[in-house]
Amino acid sequence: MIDVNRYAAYYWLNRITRGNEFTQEDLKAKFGGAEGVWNAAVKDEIDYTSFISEKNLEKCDPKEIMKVSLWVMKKVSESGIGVVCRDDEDYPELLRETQVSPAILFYEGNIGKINRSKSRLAVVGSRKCTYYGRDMCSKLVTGLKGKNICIVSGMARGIDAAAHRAALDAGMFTAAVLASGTDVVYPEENRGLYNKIKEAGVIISEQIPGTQPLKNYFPARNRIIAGIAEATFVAEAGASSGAQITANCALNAGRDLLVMPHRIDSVEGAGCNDMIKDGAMCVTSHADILLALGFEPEERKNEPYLMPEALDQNQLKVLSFIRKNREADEDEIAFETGIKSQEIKRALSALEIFGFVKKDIGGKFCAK
Amino acid sequence: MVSKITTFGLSGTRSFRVTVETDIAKGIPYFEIVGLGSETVRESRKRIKSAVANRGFQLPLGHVTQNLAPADVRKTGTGFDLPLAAGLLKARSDSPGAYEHIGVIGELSLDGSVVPVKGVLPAVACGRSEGITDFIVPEGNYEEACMCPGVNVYPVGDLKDAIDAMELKGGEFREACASKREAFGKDGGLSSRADGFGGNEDLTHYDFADVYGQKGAKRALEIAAAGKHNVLMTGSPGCGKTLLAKCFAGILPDLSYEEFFEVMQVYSSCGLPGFAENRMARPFRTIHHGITKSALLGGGRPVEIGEVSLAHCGVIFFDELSETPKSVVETLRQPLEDKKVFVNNYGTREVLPADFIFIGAANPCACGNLYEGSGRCTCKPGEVAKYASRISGALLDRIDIKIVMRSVSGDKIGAERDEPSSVIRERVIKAREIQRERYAGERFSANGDIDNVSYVKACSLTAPSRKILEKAADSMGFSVRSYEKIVKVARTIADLDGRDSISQDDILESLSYRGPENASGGGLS
Repeated sequence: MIDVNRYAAYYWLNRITRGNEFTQEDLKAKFGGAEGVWNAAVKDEIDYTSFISEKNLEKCDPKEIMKVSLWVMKKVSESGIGVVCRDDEDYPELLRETQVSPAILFYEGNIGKINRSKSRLAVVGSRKCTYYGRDMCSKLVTGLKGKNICIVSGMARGIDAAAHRAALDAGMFTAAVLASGTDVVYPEENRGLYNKIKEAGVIISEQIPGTQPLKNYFPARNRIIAGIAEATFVAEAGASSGAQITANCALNAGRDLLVMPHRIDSVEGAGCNDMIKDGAMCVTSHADILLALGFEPEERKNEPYLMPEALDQNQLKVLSFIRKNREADEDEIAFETGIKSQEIKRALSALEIFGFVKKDIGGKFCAK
Repeated sequence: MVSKITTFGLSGTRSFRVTVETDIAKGIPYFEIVGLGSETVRESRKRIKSAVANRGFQLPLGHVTQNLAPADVRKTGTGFDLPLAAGLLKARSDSPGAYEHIGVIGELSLDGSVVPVKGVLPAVACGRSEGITDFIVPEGNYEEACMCPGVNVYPVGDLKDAIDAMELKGGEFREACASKREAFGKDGGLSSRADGFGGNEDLTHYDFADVYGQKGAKRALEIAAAGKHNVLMTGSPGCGKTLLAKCFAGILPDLSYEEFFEVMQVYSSCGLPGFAENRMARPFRTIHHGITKSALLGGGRPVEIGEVSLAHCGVIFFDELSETPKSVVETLRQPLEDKKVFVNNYGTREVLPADFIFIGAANPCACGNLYEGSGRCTCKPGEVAKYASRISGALLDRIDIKIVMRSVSGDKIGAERDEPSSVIRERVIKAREIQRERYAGERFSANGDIDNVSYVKACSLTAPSRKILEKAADSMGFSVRSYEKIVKVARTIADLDGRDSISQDDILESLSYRGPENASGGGLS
């Protein structure tokens, strides 16, 4: 249960100051905290015109907003969703330092763990990602295992979901910042992931519960993702991707920007390559990330591919072709190796079962 | 005296016997037809009056009542003109009851000539099953009527021919029929029209040898033809889905005589005789996405034959499946399951045959380029998932083979031609033969139609095959229903290679046709 009156005061203060942090701090200092401002307002002791124009004051009656604020917080309190405000201990430490931090955050799960983690890494990328981007993102996140690092992302399709999944699988703490209310799952296909994060991590949103994910909430959400973490890692981003907004937020907040490089003809990774060109730190192993987060540098080792002995001639040929090209479809393999179609199909199924390759969209097979 | 003439009514693809009774009583001149005839039957009075007069017959004077028995079954169509006219003219003859052994069917034109009608073959087949062997049919329907064995068919060009032929006694009638048949054969054979069961296109010149690349898809279609499996092809626009589907017609075995007879009855019922040069080629119906529910399944009043029935014993090729309204596509579930459709015809339930191989073609996403890699697809991630969901899981469940296709780039095409369709067809025929022997005495003859009881018997797995399948189920994660589909397809692969038991290799190949769980190849997350 939350202190309804306290948070209603914060919520109300945020509304009437139109989110202006400086005005809020001034008022709080003058009247003794948010509740002090509220009480003063009840007694009509506040001169609103010092911070809002008359025109806006006509549109929103502070007394009306008081009622609304109380109602909202009562509902939130009943639904069991948690609230933290900028003055609370559990409010993400680094977010508080940013210039446009939200006054109030709603959350489900364990928000305190964000501050208690040794370090925080935001992982972002495009929703429409390649198998390579997704796979490498998972591998790099898994490499951070056991270091008490919190992975922050947005629970979108693609890279975001891959980052959360990898973190959960590796037993790491993860925070999902949503553009909708914390009780609205978007996209619907990530409901399973949402439930797991709620259980083992935390779901955060600045929108009041029940808010639908509108288009303009997403850039605002991205500033929170970047704000919570010490560094932002961009796994894959096209030339105009939402991930670039997050990257800009991170730079504006003075945080590190880590970027994974891509092939120079890759459309999906063009944004990443551009960022590296502009001076972002290039990440080629999890050791790079650990270094950026201030951990002791680790020795870098590349695990060589092992050629398994149990495979037959065709399977070996197919596997080495896929490994050479990273990905290949059946017709390409048939053309290059000259093996019959049904033989290739058998080999690919066997390789998939044994876990050497993975099926991607469009009939492509990728080396694992 | 009351004259009785035997004729046939048509309901769906099924004929039923009708007796035309004519009574001419004394009284004010009057002409009425009773017996639940629809508008077309009521209009036939006018045609009969003109035709009779224009052929030089005298319309009998008096109070004429004609009845179509059984009188409680709705009758529609124009085939009753000729028997009604004959009944009218024979009612005053010496022995008006002496014509019941001849089945008469045909429509009259106002000048007295006889024009072709729908459903002559079902009528002849129905008559034969009731012991009638002599028939008088319009010249235009002569060819299809001759397809029924063990009957004497007399083709007539006008009303007078028919009236005269009815006077021929048993032996004379048979002789006349035989000489007609001989003359017809000399006239350049039976084949008069060449539109084929395809309806609109001659598919004989499509050959797999002319399709470069797409070897995987070709192999999948070979298996589909061999085991009667339904197929879904997803791929970029222009990657060859439609072309391959059209080639598919060329690797199917010919219709058996029983199948041909069933198919001809369907086509006869809707007045599409469908004679092609190769008359035993299977129907191939191409459906476009603008089709309505009733055009697909059949129905209406009077009942129309739908595309699923026209594809009976053949193939339905559904192009742009994802662009078709979901409500239309989903109606295919029932014929795919039952191999027939049920339609309502004036309150009675009509069963139409619909045993076909389903081939669907769909784009993976709205722009179509999802599979083409590196930034070609311009769809938003949510749109891709939404597009894929246009084909329901229930329909996908009924599809054994799913093929994913990408465009073939020019430099990856070998110069040599692939196997021609005729070679593939030989293998398909052999595999079908093996299946027919195995399923002798069952009501199906191919692996794709196998039922649960025979599944256990025919698709038993050896220990290594089972082991590999269980391992695959673990690592790929699929349902029990997928499991059965995989084994069925593996059974066909084994049959193609002439193996008795399903080997590990068959299972492995079959696994590659399992396809993604939805049309677009899974989500991107």
